[in-house]
Amino acid sequence: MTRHQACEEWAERLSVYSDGEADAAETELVEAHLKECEECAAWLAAVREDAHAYSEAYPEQARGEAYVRGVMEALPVGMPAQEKRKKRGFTLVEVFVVVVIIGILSAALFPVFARSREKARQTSCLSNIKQLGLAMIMYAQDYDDTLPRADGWKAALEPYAKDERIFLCPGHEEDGLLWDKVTPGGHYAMSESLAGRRLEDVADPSMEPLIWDANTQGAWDPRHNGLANTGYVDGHVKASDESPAGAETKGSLGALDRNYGLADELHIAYDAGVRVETEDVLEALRSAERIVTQQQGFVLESRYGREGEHLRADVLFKTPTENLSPALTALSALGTMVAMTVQCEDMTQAVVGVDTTLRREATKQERLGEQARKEKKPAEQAKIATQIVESEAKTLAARTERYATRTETVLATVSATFETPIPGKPGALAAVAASFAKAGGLGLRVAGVGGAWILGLAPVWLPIMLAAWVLRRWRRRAMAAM
Amino acid sequence: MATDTPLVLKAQKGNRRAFGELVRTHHAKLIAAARAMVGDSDAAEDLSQEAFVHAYASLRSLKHPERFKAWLFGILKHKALNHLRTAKREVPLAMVGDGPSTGREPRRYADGGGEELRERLDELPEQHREILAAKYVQDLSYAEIADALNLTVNAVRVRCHRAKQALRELIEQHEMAGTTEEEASQ
Repeated sequence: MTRHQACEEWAERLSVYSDGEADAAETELVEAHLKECEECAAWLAAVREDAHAYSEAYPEQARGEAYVRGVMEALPVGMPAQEKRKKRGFTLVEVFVVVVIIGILSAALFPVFARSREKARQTSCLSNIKQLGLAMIMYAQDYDDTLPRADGWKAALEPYAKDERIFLCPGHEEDGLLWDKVTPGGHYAMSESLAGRRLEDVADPSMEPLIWDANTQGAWDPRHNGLANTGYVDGHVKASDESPAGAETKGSLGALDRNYGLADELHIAYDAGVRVETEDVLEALRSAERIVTQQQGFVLESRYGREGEHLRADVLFKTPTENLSPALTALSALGTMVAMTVQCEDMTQAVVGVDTTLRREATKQERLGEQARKEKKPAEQAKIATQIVESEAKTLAARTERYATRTETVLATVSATFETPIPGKPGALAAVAASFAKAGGLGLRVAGVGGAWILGLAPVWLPIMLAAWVLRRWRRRAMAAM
Repeated sequence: MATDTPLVLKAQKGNRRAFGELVRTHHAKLIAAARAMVGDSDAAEDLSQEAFVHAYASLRSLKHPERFKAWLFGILKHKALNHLRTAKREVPLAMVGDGPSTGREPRRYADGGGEELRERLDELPEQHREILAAKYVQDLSYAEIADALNLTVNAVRVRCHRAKQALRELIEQHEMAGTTEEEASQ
C-alpha cells in the first residue's frame, strides 16, 4: 500500500470534512477540491478507513444487567447535595495557620511595642524634669537665689508649674489619682544636699544632679528601659543608665501640702457610723473593742443580741479625731462593709467665740481688779466686786462650753454595727440580675442573666460548637469524596 | 443525546432507576472509550464504574442535562488520567515475573483481528488517545468534545486532525510491518 499525502493546506479541512463537522460553505469547497485532487481524495479515503479501523479496534463492550447492578450497588445512599466547587470562607487549617502566625507575630512584636512605648514615656518624663528644673531656677530667682527646701519643694514649685502633671512621671508604675500619686509615691526627687542652698554656692552646676526619676524611697530609679532622667542645676536634662554622682543618695520626694495652712485652725466635730456584715458577730465585737483601744479611744456602749432573724452587735465609742480614719478602715475590714456615714460639724466659730469670751472676761476681770484696788468708797468697791463675780461666772460658763466643744472636736464619736448576713442572701448572679432589674426592668434582667451565663459557660459551649463544626465539615467532605 | 434529558432530570431528583437506565444506555461505549484511553480492559471496566458513581454523586451540579454523555466522558477522562498516573508508579504483579512483553492481560475480545493494531494504538500519546476515543468510540461531536475536555471547538479541530495524522502514520507502519511479515513468510 502506498503512502497518501494530502495537500498541505487542505489536510485539516479534509479531516474536519471526514468527521462530518464542516459547514455548508466548507463542504462545497472541499468537495470541489476533491474532484480535482486525486491525492487528497485518496488521503481522505485512508483517513476514513483509519477512523473506521479505530472504532473497530474498540468495539462497544455491552455488559448486561450484572454490570448495571454493580454500578447501582456502588452508588451512595440518597442523592448527595449539590457539590460546591468554590466554597467561600476558610478551612479550619487556614484559620489555625492564621492564628498561629498572628500569635508568633504578636509574640515577636509586643516587646518591641512595649519598648517603644516606654521610650515615649521617657521622652515625656525628660520634658517634665526639664520644666521642673526651669521652675527651680525661677523659684531661686524670686527667693534670693535660693533653692526650695527639701520637704516642700513640690509645693514651692507649684506656682511656677502651669500643669500639675509635670510632677508625675508617665513611666511610674503607680496608677491612681493625680495627687495620690504625688503625695506618697515616688516620681521625682530633689537632691537633699542642694535643697535650701544658694545657686551661687554650687561649684559645678552642670555636674550637680538636682532632680531625678526616683522610686518611693527617693533613690535614683532607672525605670525607662533601664534608663533614668536626671536634671542638673544648670537646667540640662540627661537620660543615663548609670546613677550620676550625687543622685545615689536619697533625694527628697517633697510631698505636697494641700491644706493651705487651715487645718490647725479648723475645729470639726465628727460623728461617724459604720455597718458591717459578718459571720461571727461576737468575734467582730471583740475585735472592734480591740481596735478602739489601739486607736486610743474608749468605748461608751457595747451591745450584743438577737434582733429579728439575725444577730446584731453595736459599739459606741469615741476616738481622737486624727485616729478616726484608721479606726473606720480597721472596722470595715472586719467583714463586708455595707454602710458608712461620716457627719461633720464645723465648730470653729463656737470655739473661736468661747475663746474670745474668755479673753474678754479675763481682760475685764484684770481691769476691774485694778479699779477695786484704786477705789476707796466701800459702796463702789462692793459694786465692782459684784461685777467681778459676774465676770468670773461667765468665765466659768465659757470654760465649760470650751471644754465641751473641744471634746467634741478632739474626739470623734463612732457607732459601729455588726450583723450576720440576712439568711437566703441572693448569690452573685442574682445580685447582678437584680441590679439590672432595678436599672431597666425585665428585659435587662434577662439580658443580664443570659449574658452572664453565656459568657461564663464559654469553656463548655465553645469546644462543642467547634467540634460540631469540624464534624460537619468532615461529613460533607466524605460525602463529596463518594 | 436528546433522549437522555428526561432520564437525567429524573435522576437528578433522586430517581435511581432512571440513573440505572442511563447506565444501561451508556456503559458499552463508555467501557470501550476507557479501554481506548488506558489500554487495559479490566481497568477500563473499573474506571467506567467509578465514572458512573462519581457522575451520580455530582449529578446535581450538571447544569445542562442534554450534555450528559459529554459530561460523563469528561469524568471518565479524569479518572483515566488518574489511573494512568498511578499505574506508572505501580508495576502490575504479572509483570514482575514474566517481563514487560507478557505483562498485558489475555485478550477477551472476540474480534481477534484487531489485536495487533490495538497494541499499536495503545502506544499513541494520551492526548491523541483521549480525543480519538471521544470522537470515534464515544461518537461525540466537536462541540461536545470541547465541552467535555474544556477546550474551544477550534482546539478540538486541530487536536483531532493531529491525532488522525498520528493514527495514519501508526496504521501505515502497522500495514508495512504486516506486509513485510507476509513477505517474510512467503
